[in-house]
Amino acid sequence: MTIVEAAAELRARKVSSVELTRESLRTIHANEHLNAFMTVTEDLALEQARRADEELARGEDRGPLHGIPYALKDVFSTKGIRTTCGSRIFADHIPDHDSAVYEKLTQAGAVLMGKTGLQEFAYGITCNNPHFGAIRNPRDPKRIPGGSSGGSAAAVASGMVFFAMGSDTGGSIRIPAAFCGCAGIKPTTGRVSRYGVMPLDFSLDHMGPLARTAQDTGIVLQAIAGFDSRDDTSSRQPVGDYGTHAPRALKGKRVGVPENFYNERLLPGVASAFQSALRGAESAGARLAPIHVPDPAEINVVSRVILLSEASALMEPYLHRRGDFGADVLALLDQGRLLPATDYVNAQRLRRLFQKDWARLWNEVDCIFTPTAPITAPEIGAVTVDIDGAPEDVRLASTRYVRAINVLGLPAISVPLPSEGMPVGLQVIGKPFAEAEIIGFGAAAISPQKD
Amino acid sequence: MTDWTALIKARGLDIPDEAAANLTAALTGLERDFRPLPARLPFTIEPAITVSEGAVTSE
Repeated sequence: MTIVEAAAELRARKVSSVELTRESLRTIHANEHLNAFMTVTEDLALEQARRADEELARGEDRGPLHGIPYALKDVFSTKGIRTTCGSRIFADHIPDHDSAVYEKLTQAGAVLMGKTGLQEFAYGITCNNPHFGAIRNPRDPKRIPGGSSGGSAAAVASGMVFFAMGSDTGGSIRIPAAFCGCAGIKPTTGRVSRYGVMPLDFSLDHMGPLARTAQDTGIVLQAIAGFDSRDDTSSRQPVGDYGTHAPRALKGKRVGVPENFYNERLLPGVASAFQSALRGAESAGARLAPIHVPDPAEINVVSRVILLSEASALMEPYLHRRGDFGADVLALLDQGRLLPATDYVNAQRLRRLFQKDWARLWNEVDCIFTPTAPITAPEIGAVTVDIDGAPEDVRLASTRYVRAINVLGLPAISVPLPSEGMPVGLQVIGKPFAEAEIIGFGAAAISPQKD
Repeated sequence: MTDWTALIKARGLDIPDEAAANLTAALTGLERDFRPLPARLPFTIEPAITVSEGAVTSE
């Protein structure tokens, strides 16, 4: 069931929020082997659900999320509720304030089921957390869910919740959405407040929802988007109409299909699923436009310099506690301590250059389609994946198609494609603040409406 | 190319020898890929770092 369907049933009194919440709790407990949740807020959830039922019965309707069970990645501060960031260092951290996203979702009447697991400090994509255990992919528990918002993706894909919040610094919403078979959107820089979220990287972090459908991510985005004076990067751009179903969104639109980079070194199953999506877009009335994109490989290098530098600067006060970090994260933090300041400054200057280069693309196309990742979910513990007969580091392969978009600050959504075997994602990239468009394009590409 | 092990020692960072050895390949690869890129930067390009109005105007 989607948010749209659940919201309709709540208003038709076919189901209550308490019933949805009890079913959510049952599913969470039945799937504990997935290790999706860090903390389950059972009592709070039932209290919020009872309140939602009472308010809806009185005709006090807070909108489509009223009474809907959801989860927050365990980097979103929740006053009085443990917020670990997946780390031993913050294992017992109880925030004294709420994140802006949690404030808005509470105002929208959504029901918090708990906090989902993640890669330590959201720094990586396997979700093989050394302190809290590996999170598992609902489609095949021997495989990773992707990350770092892996618990959120696993919770959505297994039906524990209708949606879950994630954070995305270099693909951490879109990768797990693609690997687990759900939708996930990384909005434009400044669209959703970062206030009250434990940062990994000051200039690359973005907050966004994962849900079962593109339209559901739009409904959540509608509730959490908007200016927040507590976040220095927050934008005053008007909030769009993100939740309306637009089945013919692609008709007459120019879909950019890169002829470089995004068609290189990908698994055959990913390539065939992507080609099917292109045919679906064409049948929905889109015009496919071959394009050459300014080199994402170089932007990925810039991304690594920025991320290594900023994350290490952030964690510097804790680095004397080496034993409290996992080996993977500690290795990245050590790398960041060694990069010269000139590299960081020049990486931020190159970022400006790449942003200008990519801005020219929007004269040619309305959006860009790519696969979300060149691979499907690897097995837990795998260090490399084999692509075209050559091994590639799991982290670099998983992030190869997505991390440049954080440097550019553009919105991008991953929607699940029909595929044989493990899930494959379609990434739809849009111009700044075109979230409504890319949500519509993504939905229309996988469910094309013919005239 | 940078001698990362020597740099660790020169800066007095508390990174054990075994961990330092594991960093070298990653950093050398990153250095190889990154260092040529700034050569294309005109002097007029400034860093893409946001400065908020409030931070500038408030005491």
